[in-house]
Amino acid sequence: MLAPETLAALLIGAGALAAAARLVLLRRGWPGWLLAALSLASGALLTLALFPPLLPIGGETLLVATAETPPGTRAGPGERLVALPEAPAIAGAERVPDLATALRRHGQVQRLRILGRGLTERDRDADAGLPVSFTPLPLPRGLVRLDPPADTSAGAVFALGGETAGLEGGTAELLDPAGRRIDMQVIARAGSFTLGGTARAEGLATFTLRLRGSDKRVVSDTPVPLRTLAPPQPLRALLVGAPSPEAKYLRRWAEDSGIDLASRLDAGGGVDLGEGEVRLDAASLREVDVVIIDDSALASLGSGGRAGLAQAAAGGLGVVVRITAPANAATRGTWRALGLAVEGGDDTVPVALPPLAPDAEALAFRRGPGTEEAPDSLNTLDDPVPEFARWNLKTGAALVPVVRDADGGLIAGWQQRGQGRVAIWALADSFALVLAGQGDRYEQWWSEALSAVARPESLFRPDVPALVLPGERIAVCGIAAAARVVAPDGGALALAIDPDAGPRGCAAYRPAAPGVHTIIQPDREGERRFAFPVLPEGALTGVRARETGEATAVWAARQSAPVARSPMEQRGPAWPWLLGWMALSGALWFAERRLRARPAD
Amino acid sequence: MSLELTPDIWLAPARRRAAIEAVLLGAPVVLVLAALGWAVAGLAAGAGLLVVGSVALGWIAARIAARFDAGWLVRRLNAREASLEDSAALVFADTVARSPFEALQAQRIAARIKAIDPTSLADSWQRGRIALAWGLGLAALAGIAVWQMQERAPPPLAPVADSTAAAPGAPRLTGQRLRIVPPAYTGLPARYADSLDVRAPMGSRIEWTLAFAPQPPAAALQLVGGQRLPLTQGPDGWSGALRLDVPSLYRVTAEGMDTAQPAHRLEPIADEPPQVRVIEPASGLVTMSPGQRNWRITFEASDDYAVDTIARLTLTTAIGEGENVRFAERVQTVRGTGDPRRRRFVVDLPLAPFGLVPGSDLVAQLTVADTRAPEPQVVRGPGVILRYPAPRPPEAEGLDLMAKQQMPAYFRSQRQVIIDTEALIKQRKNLSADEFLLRSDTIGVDQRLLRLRYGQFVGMEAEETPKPPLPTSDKDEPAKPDHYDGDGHDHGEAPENPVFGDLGNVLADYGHVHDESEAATLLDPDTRELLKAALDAMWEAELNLRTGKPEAALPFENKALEYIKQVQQATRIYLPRIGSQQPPIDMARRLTGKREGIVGGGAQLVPFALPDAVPATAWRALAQPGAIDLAGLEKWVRSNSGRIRDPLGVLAAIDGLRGAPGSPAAREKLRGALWTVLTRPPAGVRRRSDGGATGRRYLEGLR
Repeated sequence: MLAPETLAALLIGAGALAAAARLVLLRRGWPGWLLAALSLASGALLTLALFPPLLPIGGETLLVATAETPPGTRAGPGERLVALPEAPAIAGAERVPDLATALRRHGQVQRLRILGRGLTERDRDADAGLPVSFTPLPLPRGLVRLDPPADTSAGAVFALGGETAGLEGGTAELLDPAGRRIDMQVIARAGSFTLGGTARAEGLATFTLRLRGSDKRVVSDTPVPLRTLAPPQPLRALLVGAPSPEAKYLRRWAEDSGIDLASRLDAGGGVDLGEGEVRLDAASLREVDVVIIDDSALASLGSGGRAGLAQAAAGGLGVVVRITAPANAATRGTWRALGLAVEGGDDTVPVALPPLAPDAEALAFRRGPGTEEAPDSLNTLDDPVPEFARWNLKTGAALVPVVRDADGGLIAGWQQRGQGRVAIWALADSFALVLAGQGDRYEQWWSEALSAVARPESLFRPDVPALVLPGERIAVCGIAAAARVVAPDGGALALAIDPDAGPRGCAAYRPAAPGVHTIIQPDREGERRFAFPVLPEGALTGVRARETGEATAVWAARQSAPVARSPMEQRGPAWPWLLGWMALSGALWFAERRLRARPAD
Repeated sequence: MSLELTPDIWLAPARRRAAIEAVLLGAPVVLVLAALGWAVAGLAAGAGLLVVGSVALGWIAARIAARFDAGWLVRRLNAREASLEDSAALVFADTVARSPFEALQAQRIAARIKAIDPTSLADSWQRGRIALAWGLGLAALAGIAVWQMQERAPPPLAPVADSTAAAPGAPRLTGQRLRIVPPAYTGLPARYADSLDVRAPMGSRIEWTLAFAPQPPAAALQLVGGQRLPLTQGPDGWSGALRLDVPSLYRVTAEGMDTAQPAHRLEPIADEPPQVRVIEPASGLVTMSPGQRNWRITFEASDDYAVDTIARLTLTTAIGEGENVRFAERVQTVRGTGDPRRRRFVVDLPLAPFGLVPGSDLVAQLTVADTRAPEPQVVRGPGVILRYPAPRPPEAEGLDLMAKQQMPAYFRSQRQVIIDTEALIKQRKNLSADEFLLRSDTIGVDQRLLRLRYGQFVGMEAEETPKPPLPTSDKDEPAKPDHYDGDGHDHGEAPENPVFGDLGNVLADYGHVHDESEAATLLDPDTRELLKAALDAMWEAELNLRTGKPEAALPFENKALEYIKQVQQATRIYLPRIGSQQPPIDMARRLTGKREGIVGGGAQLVPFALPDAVPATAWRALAQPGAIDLAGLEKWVRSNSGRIRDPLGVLAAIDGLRGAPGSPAAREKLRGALWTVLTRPPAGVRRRSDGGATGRRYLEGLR
C-alpha cells in the first residue's frame, strides 16, 4: 500500500505530465515547451503545498529555575521558563512539581539550562536525556563543607573539619555543649579548618561550630553532633613482653578505661611477673581481642608461635607490635611473618608533639574538672614538653597510619591481615608521656591504636548519615526487619526495607522535625536502640548549597553525552508553496487562454 | 629742711583698695575651683585647691599693690591737683640733689600736698565688676552643688527586662535598683548593679529596691534552697538588704505572683590571702660574703585589696655544729611602702647582733596580713637563708680519701628525743592515757630509728632492713605506719622514711658493713665501746618509751647523749671498698633452684572511679524525655562545688528545670551546664564493626 503522500504525488505528477504533453502537442515551438514546463512545475508546487517538506525543529531551550534564581529572570526567544518548587516566585514562570514533569509537559525542548543553585537530589535521580548547561553560583559566605566527627569512645579526642568561603582571616571556633570555647583556628586563604575536642560519657552531645569574620563578628553557629559510644563488652587484651614501665602504665590505663588486660611479663629464668594465666595457643587467642607484644617477645616466640599468632590475626585478632630496640633484618623478618611490610626501624627521629590545646583555658575546658587525685591545676599548658623519639619506619601504601605526630611522622599504623589487623607502635618509651603530665595524650594514642586493630564485632550500629536535616530523605542501612524510628514527639514509624538495596538492609526515612530520633530494632534479646540527631532546619544552608551545586554540575556533565532522543522533525508551513502554485497556475491559465484565443501561426 | 614726705602715707589707701579689689575679684574663681576639686576628686583635693588658690590670690594681690609706687603717686597728684603745678615729683625726689630753687618750690608744694586727703587719691571701687564676679561665682557654686546632689542621690529604679508573662492582675516586677556596698576594708566605693545578678566582694551588703505593678500586699526575696527575706515597703519601693557571704540563687517573689520567676545569682568574690615574694636576694639560699656587715632583703606582698603596712619579720638563727646547734628566734616589725595592693618591705639587717659563726644559718621570713575585717588573713612567706659558710674540710688524697670527715645530721636527734620526752612529761596531765601512751610510743620509735642508725656503725644487723626493690617472697606484708601526722615527730621533708636519716647516709651510699658486730673494723675499739654503750642506753630508753614510761627513759636518753658526744670526738670513720648493696638473700630458698612463689602478688590497682556518676547519669537521662532526679543532682553539685568552676550556673540550670519541668529549652540548658562538670574519663577503646556478612566476605576475597 502506498503512502498517501506518494499516491497523491503520483496522481499529481501524472496529471501534470498529461497537461504538459497536451500543451506540447497543442502548440509546437518554444511557447508550448514553456507552458509544458510550467505545468510540471505547478504540479510539483501543488504536491509541496499539500505535503510541505520535513524540517528539523529549530531548538527550544527549557530554563529551569531552582533555588536562588534571580526573580527578574525572563524567558527569551526560543526559551521556556519553568520553576521548580524550591525556586522563588518568578513572574511568567510555569510552576512544576519536579523536573520530570516539566520534561514531560514540554516534549519539544532540545536543551536544558539550569538557573540558580542547582537541582535537588529528587531531580538528579534520573537522566534528562537532553544536553544540560549549568553554571554554579558563587559559594555563599560562611560554612560550605562540614566533616562531622566520627563516633568516638568515652574520653577520646575527636576531630572535625570543614571549609569556608569568604572568611579569610576569620576564625573557626569549637564550642562545647556548655558554650565554652575548646578549640580555635584562624582560617587561611584556602578556607579549610580542622578542630578538635574531647568526648565525655557516652551519649549524644551537640557541639557548636562558630565562624567569625575577620572583624570578629559571628557569621554562623552550626550545630555539630557527636556520638560517644559505650563499649558493649570490655575489650580483652593481652600484654606480652618484658617487665618495663610501659607495661606498668599500660596496665594502669587498661584498668582505668575498662579493658580486661592479662599480661605475661617475662623476667627471665621462667619467671613471669604478669597477671592471669596467659597462653598463646590458638584456642586462647580466639578468646582475646588484641595482643600487645614487644619485639623481643615476638622474636622469642619462635617461628611456630609467630605462625600461630599470624593465623590468629588472620582470624580477626588484633596484634600491636611494640618496638623497643633498633630493628635488624631478623626483627623485620618476624614482622613480615605477621604481615607487616615495614622497613627501617633501626634509628630514631624526634617526635613533634602538637600542643594539647590552643590556650590554657581551652585545655581546662577540654579536660573538665579535676578529681581529688588529679586536680586540674596539676598539669598546665605551660609545662615543658618532653622530648620523645620514634623509630623511623619506612612503610608502603598497605600500612594505614593511625597515630601521627604534628609533622606527620608515623607513631602507629596497621595493616590488614585476613579478618584481623596487625599494627606497629613506633614511639619509644611512650610511658614518659604520663610522667610528663600528658597522660591524656598517652591514653588517646593507645586508644586510637587499639581501636584500629582490636577484633571486630558485629554490633547493632545502623548506618545513618551524620548530618540529617528535617525534610530530607535519608537511607538508614544496617537494619533488619521490624525496625522502627521513634521521633522526638514520640511518634513511631516502621522502616520498610528496600529489597533492591541488597543485603545491607536499607530503608528510607524522612525526618519531619529536628531532635533526637531513635532507631529501635527488636531482636531475640529484646530491643536494641540507636539514637541519631536531626539538626534544625537551615543549619547547613551553605553546606547544602555547595553540595547541590557540585552534584548538579556532575549531573549536567553526564547529560551532555550523545543525545538519547531522535531529532524531532515536522512539516514546514504550506502556504508559501500554495501561493507559488496559485501564482503559477494563474499564469498558466492566462497563457493558455491567450494561446487558445490566438490561433497558431 | 623738713619737708620729708614719705609717699607711703598717700600710697597706702590705694594699695589697700587695689589688693582688696583683686581678692574680691579672684575669690569666686578660687572658690569655684576648690568646689570642683571637692566634687571630682574628694575633700582633700578641694582643700588643697583652696589653699593653693588662696596663696596664689594673695601673691597676685601683693603684686598688684606693689604696682602703686612713688612714680604712680607723682603722676596721680599732678593729674588730680592743678595747684601742685606739676611739681609733685620735687617733693618726693632726693632732697640732697635739689637746687635751692627746687627746694623752695618743693616746700611750697609739700604744704599743699599735706592738705590732700590720701584716700581721695585711690581709684574708686569697681563695684560692677566685683558684683559680676561674685554673681557668676555663686551661680557656678550653685550649679556644682546641684550636680553633686543629683550625683549622690540614688538613681531612679531601672526598668526590668520583662521575661515572664504575668497573668493580668498579678503583680509584676517593674523596676529595680541594686546597691552594692563592699566592706569598708576593701576601699571600694558603693555602686549600683546593672542587673539583678550580683557579683561582689564577700561580705558586701546588697540593698534591693524593687517596684511592682500593681502593688502587691507583700513581697520577698526567696533564696533558692534557703531562707526567705521579706521586703519592706518604703517611699521608693520595696526594699531589703542582705550580707553576701555564700553563693546562692534567689528570685523575687510577691504575693499574688503565680508564674515562676527567673532565678538570679548572688556570687561573692572571696578575698584572696596576700602573697609574699622575695625580690632580693634572687635565690633562697645566700652565702655570706667575707666581711659582710649588712644583709638586705626585699619582700613584696600583694593582695587583691590591701596589704597591712606592718609586717612581722621572723629571724631564726641556727648557730653551731653537729649536736651543738642553738636555735634562736627573734621577731621584729617592718613597715611596708608603696601601693597598698603591692607593698614592698625592705629590711636592712645589721649582722653583728646575731653573732654568726662559720657554719651557722640565719633564716628570715616575713609574715604579712591583709586588711580584711574582722580577721585579717595572715600569710607566712617564703624564708630566705643566709649561710655563713663552714670551713672546707682539708683536701684528702690517696688513702686519706677513704677517711671522710663525718658530721652526720642525725647526731642532732638524740637531743630532740630528750626535748620531746621532757615536753611529753610536762603535758602529761592534759593528755588521756591512750594519747600519752601513743605519743610516748612515737618517741620510742624515733629512739629506735636512731639506735638502728648508730647500730650500723658497729655492724649490728639492722632490725629494719631496707626494703628490697622487688618482692623476694610472697610472704611479705606491708609495714604498718608507726606515726601519725602532727605528733611532733614529723621529720621535716621526709617524715616517714623507714631508713631514717637517708640524706646523710654516707655509709649506705658508699659502703656496707659485712663484719660481725664484734669484729667491725669501721671504728677503733674505744669508739666502738662508747657507741655500744650509747646503743645500750638507747635501747633502755626505747624500752621505757614504748611502754609509756618517759620519766624512766629520760636518764637513759641523757646517758646516750653523753656517749654520743664522746663519740663525736672520734671524727674519722673508715669506709670499706665495697660495691652496691644487694637485696638480702632469702636463706630458705638459697641454692634450692626453686622459683615457685617467687613472684609477689603485685600491686592491686584501684580502678579509676569517675566522680561524676550522678551528673553523667543525669546528662544521659536529659537526652530523652523523662523525670530527672533533680534533688540528688543538686546535692551532688553542692557537695562538689569546690571542684566545679561555676557551681551557681549548674544550680541555676537545675532550678530553671525545676520551675519548668516540661520545657525542652530548660532541659537543654541543664544538659549544657552539666557538660561543664563532667570529668573526662580515660580514653576508652572503640570496637570496629566487622561489616556484617558482606564485609567478612570482602575481606576473605582480598586474600
